[in-house]
Amino acid sequence: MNMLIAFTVGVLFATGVFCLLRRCLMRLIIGLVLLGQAANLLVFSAGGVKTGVPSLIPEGSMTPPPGAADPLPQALVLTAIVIGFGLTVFAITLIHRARATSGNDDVDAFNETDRL
Amino acid sequence: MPTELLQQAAADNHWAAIGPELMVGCLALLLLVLEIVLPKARHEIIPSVAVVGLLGIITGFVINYHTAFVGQTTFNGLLRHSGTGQFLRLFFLLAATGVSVLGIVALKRQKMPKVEFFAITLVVSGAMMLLAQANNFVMLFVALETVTVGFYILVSYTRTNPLSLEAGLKYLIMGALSSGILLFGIALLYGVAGNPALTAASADSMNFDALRVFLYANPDNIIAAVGIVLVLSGVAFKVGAVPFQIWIPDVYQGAPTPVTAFLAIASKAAGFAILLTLVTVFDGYQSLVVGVLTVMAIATILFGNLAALTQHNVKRLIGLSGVSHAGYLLVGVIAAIHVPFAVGAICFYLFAYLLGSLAVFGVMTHVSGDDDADQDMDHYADLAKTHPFLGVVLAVGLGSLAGIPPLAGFMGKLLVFLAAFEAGLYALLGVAILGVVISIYYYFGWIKAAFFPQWRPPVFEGDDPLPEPPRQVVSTPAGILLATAALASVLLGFYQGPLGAWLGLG
Amino acid sequence: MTLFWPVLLIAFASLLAAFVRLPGQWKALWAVFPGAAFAWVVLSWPAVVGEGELMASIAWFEQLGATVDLRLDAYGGLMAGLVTGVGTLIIVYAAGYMEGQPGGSRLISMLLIFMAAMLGIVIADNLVLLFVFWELTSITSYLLVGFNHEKEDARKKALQALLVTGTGGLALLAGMVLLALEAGSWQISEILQRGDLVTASPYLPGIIVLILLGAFTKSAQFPFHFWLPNAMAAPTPVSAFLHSATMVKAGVFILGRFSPIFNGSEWWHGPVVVAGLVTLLVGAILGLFQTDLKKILAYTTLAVLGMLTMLIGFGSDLALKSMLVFLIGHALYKAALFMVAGGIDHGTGTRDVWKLGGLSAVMPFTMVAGALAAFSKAGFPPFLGFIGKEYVYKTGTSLDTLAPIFTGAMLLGNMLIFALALKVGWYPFWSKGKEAMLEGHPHEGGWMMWLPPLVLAVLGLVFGFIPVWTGDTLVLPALSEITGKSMHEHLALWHGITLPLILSLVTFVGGVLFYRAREFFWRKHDRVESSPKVEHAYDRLLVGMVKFAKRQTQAIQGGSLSRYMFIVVGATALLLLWKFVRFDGWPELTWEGRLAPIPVIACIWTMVGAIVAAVAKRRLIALLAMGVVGLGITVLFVNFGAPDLAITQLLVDGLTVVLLLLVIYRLPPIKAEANRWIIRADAALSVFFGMLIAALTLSAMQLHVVERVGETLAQMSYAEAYGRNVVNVILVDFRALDTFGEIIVLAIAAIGVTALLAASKERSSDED
Repeated sequence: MNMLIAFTVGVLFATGVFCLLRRCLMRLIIGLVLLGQAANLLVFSAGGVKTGVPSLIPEGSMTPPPGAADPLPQALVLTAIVIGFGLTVFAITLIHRARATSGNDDVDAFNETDRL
Repeated sequence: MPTELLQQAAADNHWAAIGPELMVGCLALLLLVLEIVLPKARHEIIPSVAVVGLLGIITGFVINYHTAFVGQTTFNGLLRHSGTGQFLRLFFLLAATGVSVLGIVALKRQKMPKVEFFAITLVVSGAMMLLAQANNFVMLFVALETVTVGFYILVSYTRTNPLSLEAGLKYLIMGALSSGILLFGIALLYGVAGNPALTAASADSMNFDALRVFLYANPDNIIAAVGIVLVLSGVAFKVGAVPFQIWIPDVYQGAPTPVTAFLAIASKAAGFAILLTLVTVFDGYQSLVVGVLTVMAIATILFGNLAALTQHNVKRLIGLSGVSHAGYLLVGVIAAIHVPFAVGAICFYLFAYLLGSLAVFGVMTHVSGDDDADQDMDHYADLAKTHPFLGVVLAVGLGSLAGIPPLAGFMGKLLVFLAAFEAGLYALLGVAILGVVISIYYYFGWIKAAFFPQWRPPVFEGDDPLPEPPRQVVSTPAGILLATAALASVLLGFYQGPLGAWLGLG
Repeated sequence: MTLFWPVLLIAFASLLAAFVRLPGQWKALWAVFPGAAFAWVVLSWPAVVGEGELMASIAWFEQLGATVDLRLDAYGGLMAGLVTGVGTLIIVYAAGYMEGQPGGSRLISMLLIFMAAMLGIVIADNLVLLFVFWELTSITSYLLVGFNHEKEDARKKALQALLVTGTGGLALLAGMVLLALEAGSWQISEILQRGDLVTASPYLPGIIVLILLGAFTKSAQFPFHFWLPNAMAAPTPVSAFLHSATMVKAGVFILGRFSPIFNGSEWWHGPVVVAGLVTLLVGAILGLFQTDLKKILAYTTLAVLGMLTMLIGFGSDLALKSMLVFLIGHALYKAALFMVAGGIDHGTGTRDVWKLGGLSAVMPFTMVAGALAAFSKAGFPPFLGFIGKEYVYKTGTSLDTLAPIFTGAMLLGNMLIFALALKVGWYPFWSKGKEAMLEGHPHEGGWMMWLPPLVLAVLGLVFGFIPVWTGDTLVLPALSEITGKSMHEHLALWHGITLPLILSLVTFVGGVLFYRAREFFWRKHDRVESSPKVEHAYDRLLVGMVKFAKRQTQAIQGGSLSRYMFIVVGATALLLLWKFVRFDGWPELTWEGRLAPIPVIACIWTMVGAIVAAVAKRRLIALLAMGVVGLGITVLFVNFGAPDLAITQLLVDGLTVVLLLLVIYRLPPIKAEANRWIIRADAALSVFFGMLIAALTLSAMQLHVVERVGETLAQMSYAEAYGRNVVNVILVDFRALDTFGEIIVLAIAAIGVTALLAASKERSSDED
């Protein structure tokens, strides 16, 4: 199972990076999202995964049931998902503006920096 | 009800310890509220509120400088309060003040919403202050993200200008990638340091203290090594070290000038604050860290200086020269592993850099037209003649950045180099000195543009005269800022006073 | 504390001169300040000679060992006298020179600040302080050389001088830091007493080479000599001050200053003598071909600096004595000659020897000053220049090794200097056949232009007349200082008929011959100028550097985001690969754990979705594929016990897809990328990077973490925070600060989004 998860993370990273290397604006966003998901999956599984019970404390008990999933990475991932969402939304609006300004969908249309 | 337990849990949350940050946050909120409450005609005063509020916070902070929290950790080990951290907090407050004043000058010309700029600047500097004291990867990541997201918005602030949008886009994409890399590194470190099969594994492996102990006990762990390399790469992006400097010129050029100043001064300092913390955490992997940083420092110094040599746009020039400054500071960071006073030297360097940059960026804000990204060297022709004040401030600022004795920048360089010398980093020193030599060329090229009379083609009757380079009238607050920065740059070269004592240099 | 006053006084005057604009000739009043400083040097002289030194010190920057230590000894005092004395006359001269031209006050202000820095160099007793003053002279000289020059070329030359001396300055600093650390003190006077520590140091060669680099660049020694003739673009008062009497002497000065320590080291004598010798010959020979009065002077300055350096390199008491006599003599006549050249330029509008001639009738005072200075320079008795020359020959003939060669070089050098002296101080006034010259109505400048050179030239004569006094009061105290022993041998004009005297006679004969052959050399001027020179190597280096910088910047910093990303990702991948190879940490490829159907399907589903999202040609399909990826991950979260994550992920995923749909809906289909090779390279890099990451992830997962902080927090969750959902408790309770930060991030993002949307609304309303 580990290997499969690891492979999935690898594919997500590879496709994410590939998208970020494109010139098409929308592909950039897709790349960002894929990369974010890859990172989340990685953090989530960095300590090893097991088909587990959620980290909920049953009624009448003081601790979660034995074998429950590790809650700390989950907390971090939750933070990361939310931040990532904020980022994505901002990216979408930015790209929307960019497209409206340049009139097309090519990043290299935005290359007016000094050419020496 | 076991209230003692609750109290105990809450007791470690010393909110007073992050009082300044909270106040900065509240100030930001106040600005947003004022924007809603005040009629549009009175919005003019909001920026002033930001500056005055910041000055108030700075005053309070200086009075309470030696707070009881120094040397402690709070918030369950999320934060550690140290002397260096205190200095950096002050540094970020000052940077925010300077940038806000520049913002007032620059935004006046653009028909831009004004309030968000100041609010975001405040929040970002508050996050930087936390960053400087982070003692836990979670804290570090969240604070860093706050800073980064804030900058995404600030960089693309001039929304109708394609260059600003381009800068925002580039910063966003590359920033996200670097955040990803950083997060990846953190995850690896967290995973490996929490592994009970290894000695000194910790339950709370995001905590720097626990991590340090773990790394000492396991000096040859591949995962940890990769994690460290990835985290360093992520931070290298923030400080603009080669090869992660790549975003700098384009983003610096496109961003509004005050934002560029903020990036150059505070964002870089924040990166170094993290780096200074991390080198102590990664002490068990010293040879690895030193190896990576050494290669980066050499490449950064050489690339930054050589690339700056070719620039005509002063924003790109200052960005690339900033890259080389990051290189010198990296030398200091490497020295700090062995020589304790190098930390103070870096702080002094940063402070001198703050003053010099504020002076230069201050002049740049005044020598720019409506298109903020079009800042050609030619605009500086005869500046010293038409605006002697701006000319002198520019010369002092650039001189300090170039490290001309006896200005503050020279002292900073000398201190850092001396630390490097004591740490035995001769090869790095050689490269650094070579870099300084190259930098004389472009810094003085700029001064030359401003000070030496310029040849102009004669204007014949009927011809349109050449357009006058854009220059703005210096307002009182901006004048005070510029004069203070220039004077302090001169004074600090001669007399370090309490600052030197704080940094353990005196 | 009185030691501080002269420097501060002159610096203050500079500041004042920048703001107070005196009209016309009144500018000469600024000379009062350096004059007072000169008077102070003269008045303190007895005390300096009597007590050996005057010292003053205030604290500055202790971590660096920098205190502001000043020390006036006889050697520094001699230089201080020259700086302030010549400086006073220069200010008067500058006031006359700049009369009727704009920028006079600025020039005088800059000259004064330079003077303060120069004075600082000679009386600084702390290495850091010395360096500070040293660089200040470089920078002020940069500003002075580039003064009022609209020609791009002249400014380039100014920058060239700055780069050369600035680089040397940094080498000097490095050398001085080494020196201070070895000697254990930053104070020069203390270091001089601890010479043994330094000579015993293993770094001695490094210290010497670095300090020599600094001194050689400043004093324009071969192969750094080229900047000096180029610096003649400066206004004449500047050349007269900087390039004869003061700045270029700073290098020689510190060579003399440190010679007590290094005397005896093989690393010292060889390089110093050779550099001096080559500079002497190069300067004198190239000077023959010059047709511009100031250029001629610049090359003779080179020759003299070479001579001085060579003498220091010999290091004997006699050599150092000759050096001092020669140095004083040179400072007096060279500054005078520069001022004369400036006067001629001012009166006739040209400095070209082909045009000049017959000026003795119209410029009598200048003529007298020129003749006196030229005679001193040529070495006629009883001028000071003659005594200097005698001592030089005395040194040369008494050398232990290679005496004939060095004496021969000195002889040749002196002959040429003789010829060059007459070309500047004699030729323009007395040569015949230039009647056309007089038609332009050349005229004498005001008294301010001829009196200063006259004073200096007459002093050269007076000092020569009273050699015993000159020797006892000026030369011997300074000599005692740099040799470290008390010297008593008087200076004399007449030594009887000796070998040096005969050599002097030969010099006259040779010099006259060279003078008569002048036109032969002048005609070759253009050819010599265009021949390859060291300067060209420097230029090529600079041009090459700029070209290289441009190429690298264009290649790396071209502006294309895709290219940037490629570089960053590639660099990271290489870094990772390096780590893997070094630690040999490849994970084991084993199928661990049970393969449950649900996660397997979810994983495959996710991977397929990702690949489709990356390559799909149609926007909508790519977008939906991205949503599919989110779903797959949601399933994984559920399966591995994280329902909160799953819910959040689902929500975020859905919202993102919807938003993107709204925004992108109207766009045309994705264009194909221009270049197939780019796509292939990108794909290769992505796959490579993905594989590295997969390997890493696998390594991390094979660690089998069982128990960690989560457990502790989970135990505390209900007990302390009364929450049953541990993840929630962590977020809102134990890590409240993080969550607070997270909220702030969201808030900022929201502000950004609204701002951007507001902008587009403004824009569309503009368009309406």
